[in-house]
Amino acid sequence: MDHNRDKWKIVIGAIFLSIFLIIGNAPVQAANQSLNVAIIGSPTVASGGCFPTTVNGFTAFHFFNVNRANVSLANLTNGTACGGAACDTVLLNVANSTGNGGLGCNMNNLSASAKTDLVTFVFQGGKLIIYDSECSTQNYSWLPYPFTTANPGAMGARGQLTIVEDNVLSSANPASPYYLNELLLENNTDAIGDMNVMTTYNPNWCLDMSGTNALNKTGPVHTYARYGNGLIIYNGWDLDYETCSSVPSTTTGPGNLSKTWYQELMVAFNPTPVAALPCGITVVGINLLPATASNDLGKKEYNHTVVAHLSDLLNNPQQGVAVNFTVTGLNAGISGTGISDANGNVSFTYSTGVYVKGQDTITACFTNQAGQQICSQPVTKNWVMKCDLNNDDMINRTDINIIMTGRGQHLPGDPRDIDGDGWITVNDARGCTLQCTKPNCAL
Amino acid sequence: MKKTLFILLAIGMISFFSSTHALAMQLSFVPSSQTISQYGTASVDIIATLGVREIVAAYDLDIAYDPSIVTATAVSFGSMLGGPANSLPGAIGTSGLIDLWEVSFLSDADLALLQGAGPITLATLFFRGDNIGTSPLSFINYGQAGNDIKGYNNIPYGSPTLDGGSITVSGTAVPLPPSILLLGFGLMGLAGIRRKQS
Repeated sequence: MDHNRDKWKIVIGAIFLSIFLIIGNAPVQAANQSLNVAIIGSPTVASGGCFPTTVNGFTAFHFFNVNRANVSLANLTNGTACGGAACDTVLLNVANSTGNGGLGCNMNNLSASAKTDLVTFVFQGGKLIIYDSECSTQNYSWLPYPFTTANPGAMGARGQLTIVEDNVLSSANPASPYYLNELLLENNTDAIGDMNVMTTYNPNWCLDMSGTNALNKTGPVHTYARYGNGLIIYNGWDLDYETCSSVPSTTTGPGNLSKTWYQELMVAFNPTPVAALPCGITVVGINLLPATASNDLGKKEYNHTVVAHLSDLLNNPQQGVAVNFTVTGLNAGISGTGISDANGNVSFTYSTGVYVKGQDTITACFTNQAGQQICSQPVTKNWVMKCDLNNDDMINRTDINIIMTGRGQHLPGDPRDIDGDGWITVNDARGCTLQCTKPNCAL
Repeated sequence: MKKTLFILLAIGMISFFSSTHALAMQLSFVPSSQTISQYGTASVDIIATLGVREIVAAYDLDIAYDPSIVTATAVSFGSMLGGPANSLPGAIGTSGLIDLWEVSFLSDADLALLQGAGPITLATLFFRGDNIGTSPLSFINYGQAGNDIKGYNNIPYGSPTLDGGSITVSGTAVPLPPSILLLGFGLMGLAGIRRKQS
């Protein structure tokens, strides 16, 4: 008897331990913004500049310097790296000197396992912010969405900045709380002239800001990507003018640099609504919408239209580009082509040839001037049959009976609430009888 | 000028007919009032009077009565929504309330053929007179929580005319039939004989 009781104690203990380990292995997001930030190396930038961490605006965050050798998923999540709490954000300060435990502008100084763990950290809901100010070309092929950079180096030059998308990271609208002063950044700092620009063919990178650096190279300089439950932000600005005491502001050049850093910390880990970070323009220049959609086959909604939008890195529409659309999944094999119009748009409509439930994935691709095929993020189409409650790909009396078993009940979200008014009623039942597969809803 | 007048007249007529169309549905109890004796039975039809190009494709109705006067005992559904073969009817009775519904499996076009210009009987309710008095009959909760009538394309009738009704239970004693009296006397006689023998 006692032996059995001991066995139960062991089992219960193991369950608690498992729960503890599961919780302990995910980044903790107590707030909907960064709170415990691990800085790989230290806040200083070897070639000039510093991330403010103690001045007004940053006192609500907790910053912890983490030596590159100590970067691991365990250390980031079990409290070792962030003063007893789980880290929710990692600043990969690539330009921090090796003497401070930083990377010294060389991603190879970070171990392969640390890179893998950082990717996992993001996937589980963490935020990774990458700055590589003034570093030579870096290879980020270890990221789930790989890219490289083009770097002019430290020239102290001026450049041109364009805030391409108004979102919670930046806005060109002076009335927005996320406003950044482009002119001050261009003229009162060398952030833009000396900036690094991103080069990638991965469609998951979303464009926030583009710029033209001193090499007259135009490209994406501030980008973001959702990955798993987390977020990756890349910032290629030169931080020479940002000091450890730069307070977020829109009235000075350094103030704008500081405000950008502040807004990167403030953005949610997996922002919702999507409008906060809508990914309206991708770095690769082709966007396909809608990202997801549902058609109800019971209502004879057999057609689906997607629209590809082609733009350059300054969000100018690109006309006359041939785009190929490919469908995989339920309607695999369907494809189409089109030429972008003056607004940079190409639409593609197809009909489901299979009148059963399922999902399609649609991708739009074009060939760039270098002859490379560039593809959009895949979008999904769900072919559903809401009234088919018993999942037999038919709508008949059985389904109507299933609805009527719940008649009169207030059950928001119940699949029998076909019209979505929160109530299961004869309206739901009769609405479905009009969609019956056979006459008179026969079986 | 004449043309303008004609257009105005046409618009007026269209508005008139469209508004009357929306209000044409009428629900009634037939007979609207009746008197029964205590412990007697009353049957009441629920009648839908249809306007031009109107149908009843489904309904869910709450009917209130006074349970201290009458008791609802049964429901019989009409055939104008397809009958047992082509509709799904149901009813729940609680004290003072009958929750009544039916969903047709027929298409709108078939219902239009079946129901014609109406009026149609949706159902017949049966009551027993328990106590002397008058029980009102009324449609309640219309438009709430799915209680309504569906027409073409499953569009509900927003505000049909809902007529009330009543059942009066009278106090007149019901005379016992002579055969019952004879049976009673016979039983009494048998009891007397048995007592005498014992």
